[in-house]
Amino acid sequence: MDTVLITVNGQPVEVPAGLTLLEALRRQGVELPTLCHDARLTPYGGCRLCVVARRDGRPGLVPACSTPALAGMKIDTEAPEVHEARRRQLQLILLNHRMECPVCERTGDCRLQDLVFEYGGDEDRLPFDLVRRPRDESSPLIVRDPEKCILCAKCVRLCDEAQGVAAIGVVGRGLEARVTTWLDGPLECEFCGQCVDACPVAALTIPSFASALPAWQRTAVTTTCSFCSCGCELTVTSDGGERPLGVGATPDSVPNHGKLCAKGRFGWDALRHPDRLTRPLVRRGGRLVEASWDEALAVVAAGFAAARDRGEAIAAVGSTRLTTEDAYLLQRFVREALASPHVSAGVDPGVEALVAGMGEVLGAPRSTATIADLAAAGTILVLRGDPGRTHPLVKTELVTAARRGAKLLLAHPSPATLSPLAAQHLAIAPGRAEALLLSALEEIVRRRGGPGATIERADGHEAWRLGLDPYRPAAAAALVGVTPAAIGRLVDHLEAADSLVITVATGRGIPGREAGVARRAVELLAALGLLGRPGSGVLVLGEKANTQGVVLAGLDPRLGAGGRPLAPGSQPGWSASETLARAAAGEVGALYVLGQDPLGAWPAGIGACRAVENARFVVVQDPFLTDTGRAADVVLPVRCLVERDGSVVGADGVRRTIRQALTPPAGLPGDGEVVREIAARLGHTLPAGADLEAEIARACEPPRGTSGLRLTPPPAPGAPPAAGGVCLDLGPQLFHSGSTTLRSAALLGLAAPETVLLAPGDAQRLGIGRGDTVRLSAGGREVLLRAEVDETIPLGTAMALWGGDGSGAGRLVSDPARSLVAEIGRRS
Amino acid sequence: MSTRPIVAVPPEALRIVTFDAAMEASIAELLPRYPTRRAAVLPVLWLCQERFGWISPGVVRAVAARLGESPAFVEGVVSFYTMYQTAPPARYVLQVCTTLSCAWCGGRELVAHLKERLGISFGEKTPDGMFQLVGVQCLGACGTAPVVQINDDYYENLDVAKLDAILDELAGRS
Repeated sequence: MDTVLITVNGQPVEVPAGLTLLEALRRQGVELPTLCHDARLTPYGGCRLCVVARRDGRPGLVPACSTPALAGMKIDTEAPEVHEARRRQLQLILLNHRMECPVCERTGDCRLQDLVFEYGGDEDRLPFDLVRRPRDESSPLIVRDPEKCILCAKCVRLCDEAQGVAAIGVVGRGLEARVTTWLDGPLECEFCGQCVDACPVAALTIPSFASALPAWQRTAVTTTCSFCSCGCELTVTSDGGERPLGVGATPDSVPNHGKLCAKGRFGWDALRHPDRLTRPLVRRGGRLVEASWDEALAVVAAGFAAARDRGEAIAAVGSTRLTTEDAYLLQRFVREALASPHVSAGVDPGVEALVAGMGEVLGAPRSTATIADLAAAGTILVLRGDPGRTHPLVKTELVTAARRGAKLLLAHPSPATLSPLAAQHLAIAPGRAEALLLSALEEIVRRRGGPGATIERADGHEAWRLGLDPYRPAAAAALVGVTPAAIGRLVDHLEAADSLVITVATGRGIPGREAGVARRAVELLAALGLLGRPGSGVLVLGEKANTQGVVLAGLDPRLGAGGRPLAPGSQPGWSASETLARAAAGEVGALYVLGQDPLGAWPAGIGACRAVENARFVVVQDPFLTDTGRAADVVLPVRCLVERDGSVVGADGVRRTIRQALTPPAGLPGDGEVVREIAARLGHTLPAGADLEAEIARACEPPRGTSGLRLTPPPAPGAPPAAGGVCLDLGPQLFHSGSTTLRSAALLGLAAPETVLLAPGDAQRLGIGRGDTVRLSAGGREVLLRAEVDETIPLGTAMALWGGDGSGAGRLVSDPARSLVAEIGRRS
Repeated sequence: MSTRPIVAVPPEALRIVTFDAAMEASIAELLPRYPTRRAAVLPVLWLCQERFGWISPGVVRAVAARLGESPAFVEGVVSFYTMYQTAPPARYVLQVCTTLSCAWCGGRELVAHLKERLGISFGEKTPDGMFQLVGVQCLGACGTAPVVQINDDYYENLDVAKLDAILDELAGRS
């Protein structure tokens, strides 16, 4: 590495070339005061507090944050004139800052306050009247107080550079300058809250976190977010664990670099929803009544033992929101104590992409790329869903990647927040990502006159090659919903890539087989000669926090711990949907449902209702009283992830610690403790402590080497949707994507009402106008939704804004893997 | 005299702005000269101001959409620079230099005279929409002080009589 020699306060030091003075000095342990600097952002030079004096023949004060460190520079960071300049600068900042430190909620946690204590500036205030500007309380979640704003513009720059939204700007100049939205309207943004985290003063605050408790009496616990699978590190400040008084992330947090989304920042009010359970419930005389833990656990143990002794099937449906440890204990309990192979993580698209997708094609149910790879990738192909709605951190990483010059290729039907930054956006028909990849593969293989060495070494490559034929772009483009030329351009981009990361978004309702998409993505890398190349790979974005972790824990009927094959001779158990079908047919003696609400949150077509009715004994374990819980025989309340110690494995395969950041109500236990207790009552001891940790660590170890490529012949192409119907895209919303957000008033307040977005051409054809109530019907079911006309929706497609639960358009889904064609008409 | 009047499109016609083919062609010609679309925000705003006379909120929205930026960002740019008009300007915008050289060479008298003759102060328009008075810092023509910029043209070595003659002619033209 090139270095340069500079002199700092009389001491010669060698620093890496290409840094700013501020970066160079901080690496030497020399701290400088800053208000506008943020290492994640382009240097701004706004606050002038980092000024240092040059002593190398170019006299004067320079801002260290925006001055490059050059060879021979001599710098004095603590000279009297430097301190005087900082004091003067603070004096100027305080001119137009409403000073109310004694009652300010940031007191004790304010950068400006700290610096004025250190340098002064408040002792001789200049004669000047504060520019009066009212507080803006038009947004329910973020309050802006322009009289406290010191115009460091960190909020504006983060919103633009890190988030790619730029909902706010610095408007006006000089004394007129202020941070505001366009035309001073209410905030219309993604509500990630980065602006609030970055604000050094109290100009931006979150009223729901307001508290009289001073900063120095708050507790802070750093844990891992439990909403999606990005694995963001977050810090929860609270009054000793009772109520969150702040949720933030530090700029050096991994993998999120200080970024969070609306869910991770604001969704925690769900924990105190009235549905939250504090005591076990047992069905007595047809009604669920509160019971002691001892009574409830005795009923559960007796129920399981009875089913086992009668030789009836026992099945457990867990969730991808269990900790890795709890998932591991659950599958051991079911397989060993209950001697049943029927254990799964529910109907979970992320698990399918990992187990049936990556596991089938590469032998290990894991992603082969990480979120960090996005930062260096030359080309990124984004499949199935807009990460701006499903995986907000990934979206911000893609914004950063595109701004540094990475080529972004989007292939999903919904209008995308990333479209303006993309090299190409293929607005494919819903559920046609696999067909698009097969079409691209056909084009690549045909252009190159063969599939390439990697694929030719794999078994079954001839059948695979033949199966591609019907996907020739000229023939299959109509099915995919784009032109053959667009597929050609996609292949041009792909062939030019020297590194390629493919993201496969999963989320309840995103149509199409996610496993097929994951497999074809791997095949595409193989055909391009990029398979196994560092920096290239497939990143499966699981829907929930611990998708990868529960798979590695063995909570899947097809796999054992570590994602390894089942022991020879053992038969795979039932999937969650098969479990429900068997239960509906009266073949299940005991059904144990953890962290899932099949009745309330799963597609109606899966038939949870009859399953729960016809299973002889149903135990539901959940933090909330769900629809399934209301129909169960016993309901066991547990902690949420943020109230729990343990670990989760993010989409990037990294195992991260979670810590109890908030106190559970009524001293509730965690899922694993309940499972362990039931096991003990059945005479079975599950591992604990260091033994358990050793087994989990082994399960989460990265695989050694690869097992080669296993090709699956392409399926016969389906037919494009018949004229008349429209193909529904049903992905999650940014603010509302499932059972937790359903219980967060803060997030539901942001979520769009249940609406169906139509292409202008379709709306005209069907005689539907903006705001009309329309009837959507499919598979014999129908729902009424409000219609919107949106010019970004491709013809023949409709997007239903949906919350990932069993309501609204979700009622139309019968098989989540299939494209959903709905009839749409005006309500008569 | 070649100074062309500004023809400002009225606000009600600039609420929702779509660029026509000629405008799109001008923008397409500009873009390759800049490393990023963001770098083209200033010249695209100039094109709009030449075309519409001023930058309405509707123009801000259209420029933002065309360049993949947010309206808040474009508004920040517009509001930083004094030369973008954010309200319909008069037909003739008089930018009078108030800096040292001009002030010494008769600029102060010009300012006093203009304010009296037009009955307006800096930042204001005459009620007939003919003239708008703006006090500006150095226009970079100290050698020919005092100077007044009218729309895109410089009028130099002025005195009260010359300025009156110019204003008479401009006022009489329309």
